[in-house]
Amino acid sequence: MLQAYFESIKYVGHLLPMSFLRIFLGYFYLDLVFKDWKSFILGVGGYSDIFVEALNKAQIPAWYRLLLSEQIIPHWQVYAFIIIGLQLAVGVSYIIGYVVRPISILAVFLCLNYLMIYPAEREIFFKLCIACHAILAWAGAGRCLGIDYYFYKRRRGLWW
Amino acid sequence: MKHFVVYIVLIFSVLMTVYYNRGDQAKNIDDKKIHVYASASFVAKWGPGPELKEIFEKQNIFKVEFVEISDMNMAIQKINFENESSLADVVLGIDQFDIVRMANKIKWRDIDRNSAINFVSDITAVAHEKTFLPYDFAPMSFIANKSLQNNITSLKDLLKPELQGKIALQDPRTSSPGLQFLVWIFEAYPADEAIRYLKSMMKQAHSFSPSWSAAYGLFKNNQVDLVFSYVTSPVYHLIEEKTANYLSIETQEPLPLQVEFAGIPATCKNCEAAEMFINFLLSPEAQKIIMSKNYMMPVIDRVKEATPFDAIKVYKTRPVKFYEPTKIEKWINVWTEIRKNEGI
Repeated sequence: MLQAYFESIKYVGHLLPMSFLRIFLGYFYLDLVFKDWKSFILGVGGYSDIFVEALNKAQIPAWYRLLLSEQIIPHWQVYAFIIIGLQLAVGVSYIIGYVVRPISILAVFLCLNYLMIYPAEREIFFKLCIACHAILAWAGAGRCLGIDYYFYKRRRGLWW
Repeated sequence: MKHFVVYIVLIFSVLMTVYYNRGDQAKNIDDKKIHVYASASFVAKWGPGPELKEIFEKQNIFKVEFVEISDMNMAIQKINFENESSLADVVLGIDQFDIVRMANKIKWRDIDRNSAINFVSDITAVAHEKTFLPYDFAPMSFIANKSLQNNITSLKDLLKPELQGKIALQDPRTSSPGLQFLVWIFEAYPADEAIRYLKSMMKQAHSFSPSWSAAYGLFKNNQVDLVFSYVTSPVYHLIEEKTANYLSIETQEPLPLQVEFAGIPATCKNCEAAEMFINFLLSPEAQKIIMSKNYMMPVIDRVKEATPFDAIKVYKTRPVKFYEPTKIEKWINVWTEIRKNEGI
């Protein structure tokens, strides 16, 4: 597997810049996990700020506001745990280059969620992130400097 | 697909394991620290916060940590949402409207106050609230440059044609001074006349800024001739900018008073220390700092003596009181309707 990992540079080297982007995004998501773990799970810092800001955001769609106030906020610990889990899944997947394609689609949904919740000035950043995830999924970025290449060699298909 | 599912299950299993073994990392609350929620202008290095913190920490074993709040409504929502896990020990900057409009969303602790405090006569009507303690106040009026040719002696004078588009006001939905102005109009005139006045005022206003600072910025940039602000604003210019070019206008109608209160949420963690901090705010030493850095009047007697604040004229003011929240909402709704129909 390790051999395949480095061998990928030789055979799919054209994807190398994409892999660097993937690894950077992976690092970004892991960093997010550590921050969110501290504030949401350990309760250090203002974890409620995000919900309060979201509820006061003017551009939030009515259905999402309802979902937020009726479902997410009353059970925010469960949702926070799921979101952190998904962020960890994206972070680890991007860094090791494993199941990158399906994980990128998951990451797009995560970003859509951030788009709703976070203040309007951060929208452009998350839109850019969505574009990055879509490109990673499209290119199959896990096939270069990633474990996906090992599986791709043995069993071609859309998943790698 | 199998790989993906196994991977997700594995990630959540690891996370669950870490979660159940997190031990005592959570809720490690420092019992020697109080968290004080205050506005940006209070906690800024040029505000009274840092100096008050330094003196309080010297006098007590407790440390003070300021948490900046941008909006009182959001701060109260935050405390309400966090409930028992909220770190807020003291909330500063609650005005008389916040108390009736939103403070009831959370429970507040009764404050054991120093009974020897003599509040200034302007605010005694609201100084004996069990759960909120006033720590500064100021009458509000229009501030102008001394070179302004118009002779303004009443609210009606603000409707002169030469002042059209020359007055900076605040939005009463988002700004406390904006709400003060609105309440002032409804208190000064009968309802019908107040509505007519507000309609005429729409033409006079340059804009309705979301905050006091935005409106004051327009005035400072000479985009407007008048701004609704605190009567202490000219003192700020005198001390900080060494200019005596500004004046606060006295109208025939008594001026409204803005009072700022401190409160302790019932979910406080270091409640006794929070009480000590609030009582410290009422000490002559702290009052002097608040007065000179926040540019507001002290709530206790004899603090402003021999300071530039002593030179501020004693204005005729409206008695400060707590309004019915429904009344305030009604007035805001009237303003919103007028703004929708008359606003540019």
